[in-house]
Amino acid sequence: MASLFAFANPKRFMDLSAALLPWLAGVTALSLGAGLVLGFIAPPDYQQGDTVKIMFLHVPAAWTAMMGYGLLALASLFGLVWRHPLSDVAAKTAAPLGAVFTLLGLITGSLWGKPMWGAWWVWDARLTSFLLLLFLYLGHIALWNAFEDETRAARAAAILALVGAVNLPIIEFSVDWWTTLHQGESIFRAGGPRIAGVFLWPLALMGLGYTLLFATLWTIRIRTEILERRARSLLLEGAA
Amino acid sequence: MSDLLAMGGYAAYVWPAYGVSVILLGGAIAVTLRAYGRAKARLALLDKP
Repeated sequence: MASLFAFANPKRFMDLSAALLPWLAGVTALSLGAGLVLGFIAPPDYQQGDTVKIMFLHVPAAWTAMMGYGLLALASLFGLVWRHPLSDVAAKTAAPLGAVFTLLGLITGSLWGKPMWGAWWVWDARLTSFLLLLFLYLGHIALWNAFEDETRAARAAAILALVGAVNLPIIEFSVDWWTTLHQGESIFRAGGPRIAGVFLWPLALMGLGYTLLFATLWTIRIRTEILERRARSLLLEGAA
Repeated sequence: MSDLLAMGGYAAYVWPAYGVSVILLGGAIAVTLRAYGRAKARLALLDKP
């Protein structure tokens, strides 16, 4: 716990993230590059044909969207309980990123649904709860912009983020709880993945790449926000 | 090559999926880097005595 708080020190964060960023960006580019190549040379699936190539984009986007919301909720919890300003910055900067990945999950899912299910969209449990995730992200952004005072904005947005976290298990287990067109869990399941290696490798690399891309961009956005706040306080000092 | 482009008859779905992913993620990278550059430049300007 003590180390976590040390990391949450803005100065410490700036030093550590500056050293980490080039590596983070490098491994992101490598995973995405390798994932794309393996994805394109993968054979067509015996049932899904070449639409299986949409899986390499859709599953990582959806996974990252959900992971991002989990991190947003965690940062919000830290912000509410320990009132640490860096948690507020982390929550604020995660939301627009998460919204982009959620939108990508929805669009690529739609482009996969049309040829496989015959519909761009169905109002089933998985799709509807995932659409709700987009609205939660957008609501979080709107709340941040609605308040003049940053402390109040952070608190309101954090409460929304925590209430909305209930939606995460609903998305995850929607395919088990309700009858849905969306296929069930095929990777993280008891008995190992139910998916062939030629598809699992590109999927895993793209999943890693998307996760690390989120981490890279999030780190840069937190750094940006810290720099902006520093500039603002310098301006205030100058004015005084 | 033309096999790759045809995507087994699913080109109309596969390629837009890749296109929109490149556009949205590329856009997120561009917006993030531009804001970062601007913040660094602004602070450098203010930090000068």
